[in-house]
Amino acid sequence: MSRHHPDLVMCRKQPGIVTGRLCERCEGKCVICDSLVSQTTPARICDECNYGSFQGKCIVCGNQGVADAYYCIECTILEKDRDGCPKIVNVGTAKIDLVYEKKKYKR
Amino acid sequence: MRKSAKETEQGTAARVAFGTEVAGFDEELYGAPGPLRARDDYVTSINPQESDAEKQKDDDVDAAFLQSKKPASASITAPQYLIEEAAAASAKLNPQDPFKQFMPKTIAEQQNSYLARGLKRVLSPLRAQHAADASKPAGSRVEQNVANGKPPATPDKPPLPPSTPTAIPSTNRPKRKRRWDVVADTATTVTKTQSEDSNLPPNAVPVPDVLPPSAPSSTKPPIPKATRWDAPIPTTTLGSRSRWDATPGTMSMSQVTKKSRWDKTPMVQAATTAGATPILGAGSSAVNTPFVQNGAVPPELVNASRWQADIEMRNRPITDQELDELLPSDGYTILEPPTSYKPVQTPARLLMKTPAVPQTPLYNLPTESEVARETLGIPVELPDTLKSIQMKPEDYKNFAKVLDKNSKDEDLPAEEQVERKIMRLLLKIKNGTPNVRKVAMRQISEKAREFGAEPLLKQILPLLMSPTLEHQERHLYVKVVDRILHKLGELVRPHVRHILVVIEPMLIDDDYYARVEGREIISNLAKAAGLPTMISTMRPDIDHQDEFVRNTTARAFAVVTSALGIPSMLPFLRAVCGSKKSWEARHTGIKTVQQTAILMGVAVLPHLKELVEIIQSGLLDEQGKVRLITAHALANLAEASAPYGIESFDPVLAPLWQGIRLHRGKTLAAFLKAIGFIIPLMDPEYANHYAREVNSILIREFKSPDEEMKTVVLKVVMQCVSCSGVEPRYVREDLAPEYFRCFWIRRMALDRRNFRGVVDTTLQIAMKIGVSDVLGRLVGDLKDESDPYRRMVLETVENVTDKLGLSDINSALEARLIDGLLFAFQAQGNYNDSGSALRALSVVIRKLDRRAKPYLNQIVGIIKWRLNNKSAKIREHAADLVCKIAEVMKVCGEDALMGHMGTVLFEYLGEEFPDVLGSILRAMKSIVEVIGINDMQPPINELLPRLTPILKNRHEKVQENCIILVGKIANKGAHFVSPKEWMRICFELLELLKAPIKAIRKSAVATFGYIAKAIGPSNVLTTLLNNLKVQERTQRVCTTVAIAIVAETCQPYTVLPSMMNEYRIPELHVQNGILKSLSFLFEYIRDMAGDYIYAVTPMLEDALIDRDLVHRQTACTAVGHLALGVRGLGLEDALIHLLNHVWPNIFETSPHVINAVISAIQGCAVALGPGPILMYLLQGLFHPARKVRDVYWRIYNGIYIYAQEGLVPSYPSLSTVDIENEDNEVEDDRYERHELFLIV
Repeated sequence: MSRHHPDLVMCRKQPGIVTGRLCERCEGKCVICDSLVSQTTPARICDECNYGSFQGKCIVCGNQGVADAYYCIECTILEKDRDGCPKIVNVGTAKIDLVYEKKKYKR
Repeated sequence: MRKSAKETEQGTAARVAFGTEVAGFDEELYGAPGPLRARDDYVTSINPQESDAEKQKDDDVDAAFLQSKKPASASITAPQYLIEEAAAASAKLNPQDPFKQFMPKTIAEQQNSYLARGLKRVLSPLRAQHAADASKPAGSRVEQNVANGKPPATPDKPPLPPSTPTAIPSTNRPKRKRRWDVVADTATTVTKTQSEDSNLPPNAVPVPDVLPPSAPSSTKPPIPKATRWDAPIPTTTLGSRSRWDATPGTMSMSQVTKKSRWDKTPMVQAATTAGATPILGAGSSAVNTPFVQNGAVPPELVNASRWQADIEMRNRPITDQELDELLPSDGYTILEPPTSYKPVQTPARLLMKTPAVPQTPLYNLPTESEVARETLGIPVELPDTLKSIQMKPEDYKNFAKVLDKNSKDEDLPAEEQVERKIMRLLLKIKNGTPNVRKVAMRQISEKAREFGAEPLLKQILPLLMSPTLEHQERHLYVKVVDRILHKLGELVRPHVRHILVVIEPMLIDDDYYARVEGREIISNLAKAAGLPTMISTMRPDIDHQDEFVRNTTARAFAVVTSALGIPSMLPFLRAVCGSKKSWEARHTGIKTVQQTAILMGVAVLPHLKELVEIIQSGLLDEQGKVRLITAHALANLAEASAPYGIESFDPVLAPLWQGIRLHRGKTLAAFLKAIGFIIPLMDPEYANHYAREVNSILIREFKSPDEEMKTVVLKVVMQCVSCSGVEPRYVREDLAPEYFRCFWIRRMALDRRNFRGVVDTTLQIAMKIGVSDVLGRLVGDLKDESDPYRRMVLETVENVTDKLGLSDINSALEARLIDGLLFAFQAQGNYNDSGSALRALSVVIRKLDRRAKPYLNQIVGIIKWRLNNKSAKIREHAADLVCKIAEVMKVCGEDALMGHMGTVLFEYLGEEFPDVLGSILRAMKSIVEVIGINDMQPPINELLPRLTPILKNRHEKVQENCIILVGKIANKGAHFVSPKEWMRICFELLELLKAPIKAIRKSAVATFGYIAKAIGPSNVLTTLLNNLKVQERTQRVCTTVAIAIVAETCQPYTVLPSMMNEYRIPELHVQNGILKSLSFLFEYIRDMAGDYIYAVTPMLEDALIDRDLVHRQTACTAVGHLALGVRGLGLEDALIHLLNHVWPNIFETSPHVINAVISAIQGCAVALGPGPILMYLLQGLFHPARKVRDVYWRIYNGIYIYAQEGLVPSYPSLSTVDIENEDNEVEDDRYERHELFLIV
């Protein structure tokens, strides 16, 4: 996701033992490069990103998670799986803009 | 002018009549239920005093008319009082505006009264603040008294004679703080009139008090406005005032509030009068006093007038001219209207209408846009730079300065030029099209430092406080603030206070995204301004007398804490929470701790001990509110730190336990909540002890009628029960009976929060005492007649079964359970059903597994019966149930039954409701899955031709399920169907590639692969390659993915030749498509690409030196994937060759291209090792030009992080460089060999 939305910020703290989750829409994607093939390494997230209401939520968009998150083989080779917790911690402008754009027409 | 009572009555009757027309529909056609009934509410006898009111009104209106020099067009409208009359009547008769819901809502309209207090906060003048800041030491505040809620000292007025009670307002309510009574010399006159006229609505806009000196309104006598009737009004204007605001001596309060249609709609009247001037004073001097006027116009009115104008424009009759344009002129005759036809007489509408309707044939129509604009008081011509921008009426006031076409920026002083520049950018950002907005946004953030903080914020902040602000506008302004904060950095320091005043209310907004934005801004602000500034700025607010201000301040402090770290805030918090001076400060401090815990979660753990120590004294505070918030804060801290940190809570355990014995009501609830969150942190044996202790009180409070207490009790029970130390026997015998008696009642199901609480708590209890106990108690209730209660039971059954399984229930209970569930499944209404019965039943069947066999026949019977139901929802649920239980049917060996179900569902493929059809397809899919393609009933060769037309269906659910089913068949049973049929499906699939749902596109693409495998790649590939020529990007991208998948499934060598051949077509889309699918292909086939690298290199080489940017970008991506795939295969020669072509692209500036180039270089670095890349890099690492160095260092840093150890052997040997010794003599003959050289 962050590949296509450069304003998204990853948490990047020291990952813990918890594997991140992805929602129905993001399922099957590499958390770094959005590749849909060769999911290889489980994407572990830090404890704070698994805290409270974040637990079990999609680490990319925050929806209810349905599947584990993975890094693809290429990101694993490039060692991007070692850069820290990949949870997105902000709400991207694309999403907020969309929300307000929709809100304009919502009753 | 005085009318007799009789006349008035007649007049009223007439007015009411046209008022009914205003209500919006033709009674003759539709009947007139609502308005007529509403009309009965009218009092028919009119109080004679009303004529006074009317007279006054008329006077007012006339005065207003005289004052506002109307444009010519306005003279055609009705007298003002008639317009008001009509508006009042329509408001009365038609309180619910049918279009209301479609109108954009301003934030002010949607806020509750608490949130609206944010608008009342004072935004003191920036300049004064700035100047004062410059003269005072940093951190001191100018308007401290303002922030503390004390009214600023106003110059003493001369004592008034006793007969003029102008002083009433200040005694009746606290004097409102406004920016203009904080003063500026240029505006003294205005200020004076304003402060005397205290009738301004509470949400008056705080605006720069520096009004344009030319503003003529300051010389004008203020228009006496009939505003809020309950507001005390200066009696200087009361000479002939009407009765509702007459002096109370002559009239009792009951008379004032007596029902009559006059005081019924005071707001509308007031609003209309207030709004009348700016609206009618089109383009006149009124526009020059924008802020004052704007503040006085309530947002509803602005919106209403906008809407009115819009509706009038839309609803005006079609002219002959327009008809001629719409229809061909020959072949149509114009019919005479029948003699019985009488056009609808709607005087009100006509009166309110702008002169757009051709009343007489001689009248020449002004053009459309002019009419609409003029009625709203808008200059017709916009300057060229703003031509394309949509304007709203209030924009003309807010942005008046830049809208004058004739004024030139060049003649103005530099300061004003900047101001106008900013204003123009802001207008573009607010109203422009996305492209215009983007450009303006970039400009404003790039030039932020050039413009300076003050001019920027001076304009943005008042706009953010405007009452007519809509959500999107606020979002855009906030975005601007965010961007410029980044750029301005420490320059914002003098303005922190103003930004906070505007942004803080967003922290308690209803809207999640608004809260997020608010948090982001404040944390950026904190990072830019630094902790000392933030603390000194917000300090005065912590004991502000207004609760709203304290609340937002506490939240803002929490955000600052999370941005700058807890440790740096601890001393401050300790001081605040221990404040002896005021309980408000302690309250705010403790609230800050609470909010910090909520915001930061588990990150409070390292500082938990200090935080608890800081707030612990609050538990024994003499002020109840402080005790309450302390308990809440402890609860949040415990929740945040779970399951650790019990030792930090040691000092508060005793006061908490004493507290639950001492307190009652709200405080007790808060204390219980805190205990409930602390118990789970304890060691098991302590937890057991404390849980038993608290349970006696809990059970007492089970019966409490208080809703909040109920919620808390449920939560605490849940937490106590979930502790491992609490024994099941204790729960089963002591807690559960009372719990079920008090909480499993119908009333609990009605409230959503209680519903959820009961369901969750019961699940927790079931986990402690076992399934059979709980289900045994609930099974009977499955047949309860209350629908919500049944739903609560169903949801509990579902959760409990899902979590714990059904292995410990006996067969009797099992039978009762199924019986109850089937009853509930059939009893569910066909409306407002959430499908809880369906979910519960399917979970239970799934968990029963083999034991479900005896019931399957009965269930299938019910399904078949319900598939025939006339309600679509019921049919859908029946089909869904098939899908859910298919797997269990297989396990139970009911293959025949499933085949039968398959045939039945096949019959229903003609279903016309898409939701149901989607469910049927899904059910079919799950049957195919479990039964296998070969045994499917009906056979596949019958089924698939039936599915092909369904693929054309445009409904998402149908499409998705159909394509998945087709994909499944293509995967497993392609041989049942002829290749011709598959090709037909291929063409259908191309259409699906543009589906908006990703899942559909994904399975469509995968299906291509299966089909290609079944019938060979050549035909499919031709179809796909042709599809690369289409315009739509999504479709092309999907096609490239499909090509890559086909290549992967059918081996690349079958596909690559035709792809490379296709690349020769000199067409941009096709070539890019080929490159893209090549990139996907390399990603998919990974090391298999080694066999093809020499074949594709010339093609990639060509693409990498193409003139087109996208060519090079896509080729770079392909090279990246290729390099990663073939690493370690000894193909360095080809890769070096490709890298040589990639390298010149490193200076591209487009973000996409440069990303692709960097990824290609990274890939090559993996395949070639970092050494060769370093050789490339050394050329530019120390280049004199910064732009060159930047990109080289970027690449170098990437490689350094990836493989620093690999770089060591490749670093150039520096021993040849001359080394100066201490005496500045060059030593060039020093013998030096590193260890590495010896090994090598």
